[in-house]
Amino acid sequence: MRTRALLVIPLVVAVLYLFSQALVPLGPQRLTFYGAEVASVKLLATIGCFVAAARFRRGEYLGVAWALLGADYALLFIKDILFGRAIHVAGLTPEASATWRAMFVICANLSGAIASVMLARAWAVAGIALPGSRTSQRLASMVAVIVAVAIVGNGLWRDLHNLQDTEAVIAIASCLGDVVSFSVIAPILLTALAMRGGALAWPWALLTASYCAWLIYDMCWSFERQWNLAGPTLRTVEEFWRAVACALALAGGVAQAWAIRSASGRSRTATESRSTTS
Amino acid sequence: MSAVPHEVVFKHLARYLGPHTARTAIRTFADRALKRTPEQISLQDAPALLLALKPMMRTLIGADECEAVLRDIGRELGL
Repeated sequence: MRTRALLVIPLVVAVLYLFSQALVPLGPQRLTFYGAEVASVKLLATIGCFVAAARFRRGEYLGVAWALLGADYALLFIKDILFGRAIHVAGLTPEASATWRAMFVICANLSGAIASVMLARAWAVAGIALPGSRTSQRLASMVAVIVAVAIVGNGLWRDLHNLQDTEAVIAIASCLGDVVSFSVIAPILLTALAMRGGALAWPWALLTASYCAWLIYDMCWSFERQWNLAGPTLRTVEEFWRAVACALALAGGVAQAWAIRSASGRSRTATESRSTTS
Repeated sequence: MSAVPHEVVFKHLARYLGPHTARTAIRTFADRALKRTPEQISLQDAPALLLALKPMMRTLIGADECEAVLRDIGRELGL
């Protein structure tokens, strides 16, 4: 099955990341590398989400959801290349950069949170049934919420005590967005399971995997003190999971577009074969 | 031998939704729109079933592709 080949995307991105970061020495060069790498993977995710959104007409439910997810990644990408710590517009004061970063992160997370809720509700909007009983579905959702709060809550609590720092405000916005996004992993996974064996299972499965990779990324960030890893090692692990999460979002978007294209492609083929025989 | 309507619809939907959800969707929408089981759906009932399935398909694969799939089903059923 051709869609299965999309699994190569996160694998290639992960291998490329591990290989290239090992070639860059620690220090300022490594920071610049991370600046470029993080922006690049976010751009990949942006492309994937907008490729999916482009397959829908304006205003269609899933098209809007994919566009909002794309806007999330796009805003984070723009923030990184214009107001990042390693790469930024010349002449901006650090305070102005931090303020712009905060604004972009808040808007991006708002967009991402709305997108994830819309994606999680797609089954209800479409009128399809999720696998399992109502009780087991609620239980799965509750477990996801508890895991989300447990993972993100630690870092969020730390930042709430540091509200005068713009970077802490950025982290809080990011945490709140992540809590919402991680809380809907269960219905997104259940949607993928409901459609197993069909082309539409792929985008949902890849999105679930992307959210799980973001969850692990947040876990690294949230439990950095408890894990007691050396700074550079921790950053290497964090960026690995961020790269994988973005690559999976790209794969998910392409899977959504391919699932739809298979319909129109098949229809075209059928029309062509009819016109040939008639 | 003429095609059984619910089997034709299932074949097309299962490509996208998978066999489990395709079967459930046909059963649900056949009951909701026609108050019948999938097996009771006749060729005359098929347009009403396709109409009932339309909002679900539009949500999941978009209006253009939904029209293409429903058109294919219609052609295969000789509608």
